Formats: sequence, structure tokens, C-alpha cells
Amino acid sequence: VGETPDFKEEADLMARYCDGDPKAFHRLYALVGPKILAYLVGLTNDRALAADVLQQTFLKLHQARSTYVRGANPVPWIYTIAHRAGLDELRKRKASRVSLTPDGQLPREPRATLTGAPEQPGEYDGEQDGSSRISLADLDGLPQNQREALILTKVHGRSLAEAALITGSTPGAVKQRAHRAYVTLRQRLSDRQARPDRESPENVGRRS
Amino acid sequence: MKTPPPTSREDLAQPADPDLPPVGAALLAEIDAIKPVPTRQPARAALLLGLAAGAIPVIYLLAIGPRQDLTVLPLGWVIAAALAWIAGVLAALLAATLPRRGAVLPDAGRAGWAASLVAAGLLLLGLFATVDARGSTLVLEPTWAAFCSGWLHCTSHSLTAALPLLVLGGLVLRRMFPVGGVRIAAALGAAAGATVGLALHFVCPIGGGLHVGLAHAGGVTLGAVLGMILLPRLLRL
Repeated sequence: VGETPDFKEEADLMARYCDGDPKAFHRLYALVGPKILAYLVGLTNDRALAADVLQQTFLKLHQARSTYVRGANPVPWIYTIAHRAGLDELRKRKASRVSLTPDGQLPREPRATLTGAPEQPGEYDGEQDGSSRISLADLDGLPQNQREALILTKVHGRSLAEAALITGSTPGAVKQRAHRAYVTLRQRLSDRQARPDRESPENVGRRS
Repeated sequence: MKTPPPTSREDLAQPADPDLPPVGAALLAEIDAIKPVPTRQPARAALLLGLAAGAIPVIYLLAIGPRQDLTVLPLGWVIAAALAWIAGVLAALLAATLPRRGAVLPDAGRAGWAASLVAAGLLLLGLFATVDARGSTLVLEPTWAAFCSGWLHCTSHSLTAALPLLVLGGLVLRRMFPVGGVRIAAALGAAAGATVGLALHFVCPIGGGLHVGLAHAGGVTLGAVLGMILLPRLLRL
């Protein structure tokens, strides 16, 4: 965590934010918010929920800003807060009642890519290069900890140490989980390429 | 031609910035009323806890007095064992309070390792490196009842005296338990247990590796467990 030299702007903004500069907060939000939102979309597989948790994350950051250590990189810390808030929200959702559509079906969540961007129609058609790309649906069925490890390390480029800090795990465990998830995904993509006509990407993604 | 499966991070979809929702009304209201806040200084927190930890053996010595065989025991062993206990206190305390350079939060993994190593190291030290002064050190009868009585006496001291330090540590580190809190709490508990172990090294008249290992150093493990059980719950209040 400490070796990364390119967090000067974030550290400076966070320090100014703690000094009571609202502009620094808005700049920090614009700078870090997209990364956190993308991570939360990956974590929750629900864009609307991720947007809610993003607000909670920055509210918690605001309440806990006095625990910031000047000169430190605030980004892994914000990821940590977001990770915890996201998991709490997922737990609440699991415990809460499920809303059904008027015809008694589960409402369909809007699909998103692994980066958090809304999925474009036809984006994962086998005719394009979709056969080698990954959507959030491809992560269905992966254990939660493997999913987190994969998204943090392979998609968001967090180091193993940072990912361990964010998830409250150890670098070795994160590495192992990310590797297992990656192997599973590679297998799924290979299967998809081998059977492009028989199985649509959507079906592949929903298989667990 | 089919695209091969992804083999590196670059092959996976890169994180494009999705449309960022505007700052919510509740947060915006907080930001509009923002005031400067002092930021945390981990070294100051570690120093505060270190001073509090240092006070425990002093209080014990003043309240109970030194063990009867202290002057007869080999001075080198007394000092070396005390330094080992102090090293255990510092290792666990610093791991629980100081983040790595450039990080905001203490490293939970490092704290967990520190708690485990300190507990195991002091246990081994107590079991295999305890020195008694023949005729001066109180040696318990080799019975189960005598061992349990001595163990219960010193362990109850460990837990009772460790509690204030544990609570203080929890207060100092509050809001810093988002993840890995259990391991940080374990390190704090181990530090508190080792602090009482240091005090017992100077005041407890009972000798024997089994007693020192399982009652004094066992307090380190129990302190860590107490921290793991108590702190996360306490900080939710």
C-alpha cells in the first residue's frame, strides 16, 4: 500500500476536505466516485443499489474523516468503507422481503458490464467479440469472496495488499481467490467459445 | 477467428467511469455545513496506549509489591524475561495501532499475525524458559487442584487488569474497525494480556513453567479472545 507514489492528488484533496474545504470534497467525489461506483456495481450486481451505497459510502467517509491520516492514500480506505457498506446492504436485502412484479415474477435487474457501465443491447452477442468478454452475469455463481477478489485485483487494478486491506483478508488469500475465480471464468469463456450456437452468453452467465 | 480466452488483466473489461450520480441531499447538507476536523495521528494513539500499558505494572508493583524471590532470582533472567514481555506488548500494540506507511487503517492481517506470534512466543517462553529460585520461589503442589487454583488466580488478574486497556484501545481506535476489526481487537487484547503478564512477572510469587506458561502467558491468549469478543460489540454501542 505504501509503495504507491501516485496518490498525491487524492491525499491532498482529502487533507483539504478535512480542513473544511467543500470544493475538495466535490473534486474527490468526482475523482474517486466512479471507481467506487464501478466496484459497487460489481459487488452488488445492481446499479441502483450501488448508487445508493455510493452515497452511504461518502456519508460514512464524511463522518469518519477525522480518522484520516494526513499524507496517506485515502482510496483503499474509501474502497474499504464502500466494501463494508455494500456487504451490509446485501445482507439487509437477503433478509428483506422480495418485491414481485404484478404477474408474480421477480423483477429483472438492469444488466451491467463488469465495469459498472450499463450493458448495451447486443453487446454480448457472439457475432461480435463478445465471446471473450465478461459481463457481471458471468460472475453469477462465483463465491462472494472470489468475486470481490477478482473485481478488485483484475478489474480495478488494486494490489494484493490493497485488496486484502479492503476486504479484511490477507494478500495470500486474495491471490488464491482471484486465481480460482479467474480459472472458473476462463473455463466458462472457453465453453462459450466452443458452443456459440447452442448456448447464448446470457445463459452462460446465469449458469452457476 | 475466435478470440482466445483472457490471459491478463488487460483482456478483461477495463473500468470505464460509469455515469456518476450527483451527491445526495443528505450528504450535500453535511458538506455545506462542513467544519475543519483534526486528523488522526497514529503515533500519538500508540504512545497514549503505550503509556497506559506502562502504568499497569507500576500500579501492580505499588499495590501488591514485588515477588518475594525477586532479589534471589538471576538478574539476567529477570531482565531478559521482562524485555521479552515488553517486546510482546509493543509488537501487539504497534501492530494494532500503526498503519503501514501510506495507509489509513492498521493492517488487520499484520495485527492478527502479531497477536498469534506474541501469544505463542510468550507461551513458549513461560513453559520452557522459566527460572525458579530454589527455596524462595513458591512452587505449587503437583496436583490438579493446586494448578487450577493458581491458574484461576493469575488468569482472573490478567482479564480484570487487561479490561481497562482494552476499552481504552477500543476508544482510541473507534471508527477504524470497518473490516478486520476482530484481528485488530485480538492484537489489542494480546497487548493488554502481555502487559498484565509483565506485571505478574514482577509480583507473582508462584514459579514453575506450567504456571507461568499457562496462567501468565495464557492471559495473553485469553486477552486476545476477550478483545475479539468484546471490542467489536462494544464499538457498536
